Amino acid sequence: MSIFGFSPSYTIDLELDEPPSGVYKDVAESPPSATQQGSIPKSNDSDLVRKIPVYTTTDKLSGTVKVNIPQGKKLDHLGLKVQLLGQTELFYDRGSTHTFLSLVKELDAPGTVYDSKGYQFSFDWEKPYETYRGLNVRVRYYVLVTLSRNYKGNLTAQKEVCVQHVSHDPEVNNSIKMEVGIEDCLHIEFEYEKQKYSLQDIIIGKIYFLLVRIKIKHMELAVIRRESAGGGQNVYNESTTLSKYEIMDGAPVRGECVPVRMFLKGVGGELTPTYRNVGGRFSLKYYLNLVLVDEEDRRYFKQQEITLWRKTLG
Amino acid sequence: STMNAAEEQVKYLSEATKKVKEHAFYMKRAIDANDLNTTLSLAADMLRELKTSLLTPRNYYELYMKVTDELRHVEDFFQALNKQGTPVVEMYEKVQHCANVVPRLYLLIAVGGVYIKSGEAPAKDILKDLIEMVKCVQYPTRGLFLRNYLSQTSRDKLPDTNSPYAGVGGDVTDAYDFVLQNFSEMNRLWVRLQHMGGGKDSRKKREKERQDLKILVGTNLVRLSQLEGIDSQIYKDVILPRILEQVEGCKDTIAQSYLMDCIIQVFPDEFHLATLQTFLNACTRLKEKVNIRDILQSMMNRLSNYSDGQADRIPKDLQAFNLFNDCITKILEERSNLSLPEILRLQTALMQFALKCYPGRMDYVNYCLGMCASVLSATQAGELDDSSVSEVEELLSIPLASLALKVLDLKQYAELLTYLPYENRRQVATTLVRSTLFAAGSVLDTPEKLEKLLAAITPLLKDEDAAGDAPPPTADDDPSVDEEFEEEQTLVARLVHTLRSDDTDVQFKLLSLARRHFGQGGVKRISHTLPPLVFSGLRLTHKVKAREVEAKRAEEDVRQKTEEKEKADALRKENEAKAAEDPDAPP
Repeated sequence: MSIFGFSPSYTIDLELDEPPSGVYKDVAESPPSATQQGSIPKSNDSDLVRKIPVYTTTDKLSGTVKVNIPQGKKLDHLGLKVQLLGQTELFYDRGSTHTFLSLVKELDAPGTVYDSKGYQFSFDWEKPYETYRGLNVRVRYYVLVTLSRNYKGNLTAQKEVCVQHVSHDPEVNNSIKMEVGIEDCLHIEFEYEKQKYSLQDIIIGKIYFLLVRIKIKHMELAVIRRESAGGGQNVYNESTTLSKYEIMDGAPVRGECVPVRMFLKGVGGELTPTYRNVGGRFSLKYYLNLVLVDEEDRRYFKQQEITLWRKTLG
Repeated sequence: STMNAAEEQVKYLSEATKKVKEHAFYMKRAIDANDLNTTLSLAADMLRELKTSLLTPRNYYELYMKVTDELRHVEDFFQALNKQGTPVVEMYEKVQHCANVVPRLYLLIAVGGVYIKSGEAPAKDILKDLIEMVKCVQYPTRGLFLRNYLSQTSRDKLPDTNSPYAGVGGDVTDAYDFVLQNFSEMNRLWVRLQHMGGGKDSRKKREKERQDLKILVGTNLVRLSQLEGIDSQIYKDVILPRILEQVEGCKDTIAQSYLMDCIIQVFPDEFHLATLQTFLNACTRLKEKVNIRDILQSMMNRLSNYSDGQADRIPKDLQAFNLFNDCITKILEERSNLSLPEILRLQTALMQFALKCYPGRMDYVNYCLGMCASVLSATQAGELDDSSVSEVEELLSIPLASLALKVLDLKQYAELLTYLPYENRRQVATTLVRSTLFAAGSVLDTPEKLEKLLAAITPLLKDEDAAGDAPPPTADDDPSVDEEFEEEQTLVARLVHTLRSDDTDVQFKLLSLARRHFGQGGVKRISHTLPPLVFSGLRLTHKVKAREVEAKRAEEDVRQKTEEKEKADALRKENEAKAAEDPDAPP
């Protein structure tokens, strides 16, 4: 709509049908406006929480494009198409975008549209990677509608969609049990029940103190995500501490055994499955970082990789 | 800082209290709005005040009370939500998302209580989980108060026998396992405070802090005593051994002293009688600095009160006296640091126990006196330190109330008296005379008895021969001393009335004996003690005179009768002779 209150303008709306999975995901993103001039806008963060549809495995993506024409007017155009795009965006260096999925459907040949009209479409599409929003890397899927015109610029509309893949319980899932220490200082044995955890799982384990000669103030368990992007000579590693969970207050003595119970649900919506070598471009690994802090704020830590997998969509 | 430590404490506490009030206010608003997430967030903020390390235990307790008061609203809220349809397990998980361990565990316990009440899971499972998770707080003060909150919250929800939570929820075994574990862990945390560094100066401060916190540990023992399902068999087989394991194992003097006494106070007499041997054995294994006498005395008093002077209340086969004696003997053998007064005090306590629980067993009393005599034999009479002197005085005074004169039959009694200096002997003597006068049926009827008594009360009768002891007061002396002296001598005087024998000769001997001893007392004494003797003597003379008169009359009677008989005999002889000469003459 024109902001000057003059004659209403031409708009296109993109509506997506409910995904076959029936699942939507909350994302904090501002919805792109319907009439954007110029190039494809990058999504940026805002305070709004939106729900985007989640697609998995062989789900089809279907929807409708609506072309809105004001009363008594007509619209000359050079073609109406809808694209389903999948891209990995790299933000380091000068940044680059690699399109790994590009499907297009012609909705209307060049011509004239006299009345508002709706065009239905459907895509059968490969979903090689999960949607991911990281620090140096993003994997995006989105639907882009373009109405081409020779003057006044193209009309576009786009919507983000989310791709997720569900796995099954791993057949083999051994516990992690390790003794670690600093000679004459601190010696612990920690145990985590499993190596592989679903995103709603609970980290259950225990910490056994074999030798305590330092004055421990507290102990915490952090979840760290390490994103490795690029390859060859340019590898960019970015570690983020997603959460810190205090598991012990005060100083134990030798022989003490302290339980660990941390809900991955509490880590928040930033958890994704472990990604190994996505599209040859990046990996995403998760670590549990056990940290002991002493009275002088010295930190003693032990990092341990865990594998996260997705059990349910959402 | 320009403030001293006490002022700083006031400041910290008032700041923390203010924050608690603030968070609680908004928290209650969230509760009214039925908003669980906001409630939990604000509750966590409020509970974070309990993370402080700045407060002394007493002040931390104040803060803890305020916070747990406010937590009651949260507990009620959880309960209301559950009634409205929220499964408790959901809330139980949600509170565990809290990233700080202290707030998280308080909330977990709060939900845990509601969980047990709801019956949505067996009580024993919830209790097991809670007791495991609270291990995450290892800082002594914070850990102790957290576990106290656990103890308070769970107290009415244990699967005790006859409790609504027993059955699927468990049984008394689960209940006492839970309490015993909390007790052990709390004791360990409490002992850990002792070693929290700071050097020699802070040791006194830490010990005081420990004393302030001891009730938190003791409450667990009270909780055990309140479990209906524990009988004396379970107490003997499980409970006491587990408690003693912790008491002995912690190797801490303050803990051992407090807990052994706690055990005595908290559990019923029947339990103590069933486990006396075990308890006493444990006493011999306590740390060097623990005052075992206090503990033994405490137990002996407990059992004395229970037996209440009746010899049959303590089971005969228990041989309690022997058990205590064996324990004391072992302690004397193994401990080198027991002072003489302490040893005497121990024997006195044992003797008191015997007097109360085994009235009539003079052999027990004699045994105790004998032990004291042998312990003292190494010391010269007159070389005894003041503490020991007062102990011996106590030892000799205590039996007088129940035994009175019978003490004179105890071999060692007189010997022990010799260890006392004049003043103390005088005190004992006064008590002896008093108890003799008040004891029913006290009668001095043989010279031997009187001799013994008079020997024992010599300090009342005369001045000390050796140098340095007090003579009877003169007219210029302190009037209160005068009063004391008067009282003493009056008592001695009244003794005269107990000198009684039906045999006047013996009576005379008694009075003479008394006269002989009283006479050595000096002018001031005689003025009190001779008058009753004189009156007794006069009474005696009446008696004797009466006897003599009676004897004379009897003699007279006999003489008269003999005379008459002789006259009658003579007359008969005359008549018989006359009849022989003149048969016809009239008689």
